[in-house]
Amino acid sequence: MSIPLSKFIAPEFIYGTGAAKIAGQYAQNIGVSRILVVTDKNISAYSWFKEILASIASHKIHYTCFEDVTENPKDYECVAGASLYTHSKSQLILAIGGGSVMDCAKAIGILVTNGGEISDYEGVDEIGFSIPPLVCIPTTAGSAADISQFAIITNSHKAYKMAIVSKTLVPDLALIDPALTLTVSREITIDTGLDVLAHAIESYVSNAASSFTRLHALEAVDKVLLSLLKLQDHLDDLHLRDQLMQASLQAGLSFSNASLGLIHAIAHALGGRYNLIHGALNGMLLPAVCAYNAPWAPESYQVICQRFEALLNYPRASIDLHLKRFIDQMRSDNLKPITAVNREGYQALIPYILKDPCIATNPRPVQEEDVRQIYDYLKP
Amino acid sequence: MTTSNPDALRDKLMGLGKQSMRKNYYVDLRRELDQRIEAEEALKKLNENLENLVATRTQALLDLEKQLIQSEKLAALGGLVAGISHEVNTPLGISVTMASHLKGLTDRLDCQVPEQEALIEELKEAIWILETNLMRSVEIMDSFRRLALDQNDDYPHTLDYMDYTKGIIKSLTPELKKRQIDVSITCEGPCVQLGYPGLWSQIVVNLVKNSILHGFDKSSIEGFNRICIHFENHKQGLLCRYSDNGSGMTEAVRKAVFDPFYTTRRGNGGTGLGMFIVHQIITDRIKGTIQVADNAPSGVVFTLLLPKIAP
Repeated sequence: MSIPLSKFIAPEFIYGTGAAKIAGQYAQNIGVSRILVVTDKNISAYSWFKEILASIASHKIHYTCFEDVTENPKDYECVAGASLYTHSKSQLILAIGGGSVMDCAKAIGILVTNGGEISDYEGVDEIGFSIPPLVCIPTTAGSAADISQFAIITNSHKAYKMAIVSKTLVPDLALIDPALTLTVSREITIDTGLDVLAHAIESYVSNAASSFTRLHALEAVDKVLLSLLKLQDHLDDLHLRDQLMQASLQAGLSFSNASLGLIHAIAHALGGRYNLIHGALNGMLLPAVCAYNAPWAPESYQVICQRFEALLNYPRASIDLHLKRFIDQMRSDNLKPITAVNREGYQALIPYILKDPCIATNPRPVQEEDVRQIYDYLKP
Repeated sequence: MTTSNPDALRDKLMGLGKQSMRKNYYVDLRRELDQRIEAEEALKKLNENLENLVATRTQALLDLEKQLIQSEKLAALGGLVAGISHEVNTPLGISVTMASHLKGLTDRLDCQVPEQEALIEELKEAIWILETNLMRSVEIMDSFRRLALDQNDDYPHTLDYMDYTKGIIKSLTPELKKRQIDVSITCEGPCVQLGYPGLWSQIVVNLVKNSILHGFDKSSIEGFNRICIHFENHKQGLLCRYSDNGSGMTEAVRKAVFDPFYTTRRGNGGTGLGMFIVHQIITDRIKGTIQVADNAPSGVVFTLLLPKIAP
């Protein structure tokens, strides 16, 4: 008998109210004097953002802000950020934002220490040199990029999302304050919440899952189910925000170590080509892919089904029906059927889907024909 | 991107890939630090060596300067001596002529007056002493005149120093045999280069005569008297090491060995010009160097550099 190898990597993280203001102290402790703050223009307008900067300045740390990150971050944004990092003689990267901002910060780090173009590092374990110290302050509860080894960057020439996966991308420190998500809109809250659910379910059924990752995955599923439905009507409920943030963190611990599956492979391809919202896309793909995978991991899916039945009093049903029912209860404009993608457009993306590293850990070996058929589930 | 092997990819996704094992900045930093320390130490050593090097070079320059001053001093003296000998030569010539004329006149004096016989004999004796001493003066003046550096009758020839030196030694055989001195001539590699046969002969004869006269003058032990002449190729020309196992020189003698008129045998007819001439020929005519070793265990050691001459 041989026991399969498993590994669990998590960054140092500090969780709770006021966590974000520890950034300056941390930078001072590891001895840096100049940092690059990566963020986007929406976030830099918040008052708490200025408070974080003030706390950094109070530790005599000089900061330079890079605010030009957009949704689905592009390769050229990373190049601009890396250039600013070098020219400002920064020694640490502080990302304050959602998944896009944190992914962009990671890519900036790659370019700073490894050089070349960001597409050189597409794939798994392709990064030779550690990135500079990276501190993440997440402002949404979803991507868990502050925990994970993933960075998803859009290749602007070929219009697809490159998955860059490496343990060197796990941040050095995550400062997680659920209160920062209080101002997140209902749509984005739902999008990111569904992203958490997709992370949790996909990593739970992943063929690389271990008991250490499943523990967190299942906790994450529970916390999403308990918080997300109520949260759409009580956006300023800090307790619910806390629940969802914990779910995001735990789903991150799980998928960063057990990886994901077909949902994310398809979402990366579609999102990159049509600039779609990642979370909403995941929501729409969840029932379809789970129905496709379920026969190959029936016990795992059964465990998840039981969570729906126990926590939400859903009558016994298959996983795809549970998911459909759950998503139907969400009231978000982003969850409209995907009309932008026609069959031909989808088929053109199949090579990218099959090339995505997330495919490797999908519980069911993915065939080209199967991917083609998934499209039928997506139709209105 | 590696997608060919799904299992390998899965392992990498789980963080089991080659580059996914945790790295520690400390190791890299430590290595860099060690390299810097090493480089710094090397630089420090280099600087120390540089100081030594500067000291050595400075000493060499000082030595060279000393040598130059000595050479110039000797050259000036040489010029002076040659000048004097030239000036003295004419009155000396007239004196010699007059002395022999005087001798002739004396011969014509008749010894008819008996009481004058003793006087004439005394006169003849005086004239003989005068003539002998004048001839001796002429000889000395001749040797002085040889120092005049404008004599340019020797042209460079391609010279096999080994063969040529053997010839010179052969001509000295009678004197060498008398003192039972062995001479060995050796060489390392070919010792053929352009040189002045006449000047070289003068040098060798002077050195050998000095060895005979000063080195082996005392009751020498049979079979142990030896002169070695060794040639060696050097990047600047031919290096000649002349040595004997004679009685050697005292510190005082060594210091003055190249000075003109310095002799330990003035009473025995030494002029003190032999080694001065050798020095002048080598430094002024051949443009080489001659050094006397101050740490020879016994006897004398002269090291001569005979530079390559442009044909």
